[in-house]
Amino acid sequence: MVRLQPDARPALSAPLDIGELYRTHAATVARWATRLGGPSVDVEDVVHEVFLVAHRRLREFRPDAKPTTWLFRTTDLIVRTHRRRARLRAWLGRAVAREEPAGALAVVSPVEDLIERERTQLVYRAMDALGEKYRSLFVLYELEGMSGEEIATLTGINPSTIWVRLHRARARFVARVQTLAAREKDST
Amino acid sequence: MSQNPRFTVDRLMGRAHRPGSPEETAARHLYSAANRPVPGAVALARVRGRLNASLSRRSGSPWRWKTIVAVFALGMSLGGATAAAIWRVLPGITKRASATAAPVRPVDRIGRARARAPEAPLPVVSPPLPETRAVSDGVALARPIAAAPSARKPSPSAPIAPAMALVAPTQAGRPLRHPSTGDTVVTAHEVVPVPVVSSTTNVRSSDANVAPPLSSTAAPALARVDSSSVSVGAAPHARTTVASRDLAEEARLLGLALQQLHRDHDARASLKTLDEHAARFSGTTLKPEADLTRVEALLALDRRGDALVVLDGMWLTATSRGRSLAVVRGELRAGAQRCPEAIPDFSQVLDVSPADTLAEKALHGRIACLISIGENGAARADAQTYLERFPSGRFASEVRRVLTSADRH
Repeated sequence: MVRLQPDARPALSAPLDIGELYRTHAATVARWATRLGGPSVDVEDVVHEVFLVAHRRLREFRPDAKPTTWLFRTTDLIVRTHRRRARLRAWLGRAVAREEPAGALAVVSPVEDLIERERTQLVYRAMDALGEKYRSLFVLYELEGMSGEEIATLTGINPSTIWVRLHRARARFVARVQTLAAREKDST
Repeated sequence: MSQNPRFTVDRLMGRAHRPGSPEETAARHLYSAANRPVPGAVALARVRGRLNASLSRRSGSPWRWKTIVAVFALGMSLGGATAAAIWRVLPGITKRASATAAPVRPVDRIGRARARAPEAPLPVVSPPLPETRAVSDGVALARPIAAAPSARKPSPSAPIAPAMALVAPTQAGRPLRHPSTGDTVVTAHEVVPVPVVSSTTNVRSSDANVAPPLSSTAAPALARVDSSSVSVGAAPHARTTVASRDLAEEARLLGLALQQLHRDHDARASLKTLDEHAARFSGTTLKPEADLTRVEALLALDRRGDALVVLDGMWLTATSRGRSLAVVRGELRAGAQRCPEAIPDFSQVLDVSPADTLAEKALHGRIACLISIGENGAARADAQTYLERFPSGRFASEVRRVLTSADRH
C-alpha cells in the first residue's frame, strides 16, 4: 500500500496550470477515487471529472491553499455523486457493479482473484453503512494509511473530531463486517 | 468516548489480532480492499486524452452558447409568428363558421381567396423563394432565384415568372385558371421551384444533364428533373477519395469500438464492432490499435484465454504502453501455467525501468513464476529486491510471507 504524503510534494507555483496539476496529482486522485469509490465506481470517469471541475474552478483557487486539499474535496464529492448514481442504477435493476479487468489484477490465481474481489465488495458494503462523514475518514486512515494529522490537513477537520469519528467508524465497521461475513458463511 | 485530543485509534490492519476475533476478520477483509489495483500510467494517459478532448470542446463553449441562444431566439420568433398568424386567421374562420349555417368544408388557400374576393386579382407568386432544389432527389443546381417583380401581379403577358418553371404537384394535369383571364395560375404554397438552366445559370454540362428551360406556356405540364439523368463526371482524385473514405470508415469503426468499451462499458458490443472491423479491414495500419482494444475488451469480459491468444501474437515495444501490456501478458501467461514464457515478459519490463509501478507488478509476477517453476533461489533474490525497492508496496506483506516461509525451509 502506498502511503500518501500530502506535504511531500512541492507546492505548485502560481498561476496553477491544469496540465501541471494533472501531471502532479493525477495518480493521487486516481488512488483516492479507487479507495473511496470501491468497485461500483469507474475510477477513470472520476479522475476525468475531477480535473474538469479543477479546470473550471482554476480561477477560484487561492494560491496559498494546497492543491491536494482542494482536489481531495472535489474527488470526495464526485465519488459520492458516482456512488449515488450506482445505487440508483442498482435500484432500477441495471448493472450494479463494474467488474475490473482481470488483467489489471496482480493476483495470479483466479481463485485468489475471486476471493479478493468478494472480500473487497464486502468491505465496501460494510463501509456504505458507515455514513459519509465517517466513511471518507475511515478510508483515508485504514486504506490510505494516513495519520490523523495528515487527514486533518487534507480535510480541514479538527484532529479531535477525526479521532472521535474514526473510533466510531471502526466500531461500526467491525460489527458490520462481522454481520456480513456471517451472513455470507450461512448462505454458502 | 474520550474527549482527549491526544486520543488515537489503532489501525485494524498491520496489527496482531486474536484469531477469529471480529477485528481479525475486518483486518483480513481490509487487506483485500487495500490491495485493489489503482489505475496505472496507461489508464491515466487515457484519461489525459479524454480530458484534452473535453477541454478543447469546452474552449468553444461561447460559440456553443451563442448557437443555443440563436436557435432559441429563432424558435421563439417562428413560434410567435405562427401564433400570430393563427390568432389572425382563427377569428375569421370562427366568424364565418358561425355566420353560415351550412357546415364549412375545409377549403384550400385558393378556395378561400376566391371566396373572399373573387373579383380581385389572385396572388400568384409569394415571397422570395428559398434555395432552389431539384424535385426528385435534392440535387441543388441553381442559385436562389427571387421572384421577378412582374410575377407578383398576374398579367396576361406574364402570368408566371419567366425565370422559373412552376409546378403544382397536387394539381398535376389540372391547371388552375384565372377566373377572369383564363390564364394558368398557381399559388405560392403549391409551388415547387425546379432548377432552370439558362444562359445566366452557371451549370456545367458535365455536372448535370437537365431539361431545357421551360417557358411559361409549358409550366402547367409537370417539369421534373429525373435523378437518373444527373450524372457525375469521373473526378481526377477518385482513387484518393476512396482510400481516404476507407480510412475514415476504419477510424470510425475503431472509435466506435473504443467508445463502446470505455464510455458505455459494453465490451460485447465493442468486440462485435472489432469483428466487423477485422472482417472489412485486415492488415491495415490501424490493426495494432484494434488488437489492443480487443485485448482490453476481452479482459473486461474476463476472457483471459482469448486475450492471451491476441497478446501472444503481438510484438510489444519498450514504450510505457508496451510495458504495461507485457505485464498483463506475463500475468495471463502465469495464470495459464506458462510461467517459463511469462518470466521474459516480466524481465522485459524490469529491464527498462526497475522502480515504477509496472516494475513493482512485474517483480511480484516474476517472484510468483519463479516459485511455481521451483527456482526458489532466484525467487528469494527477487523478493529481497522487491522489499528493497518497494518496502511499503502493495505486495510487500505477501513477499515478506514468501521470504519467511523460504527461511523456514
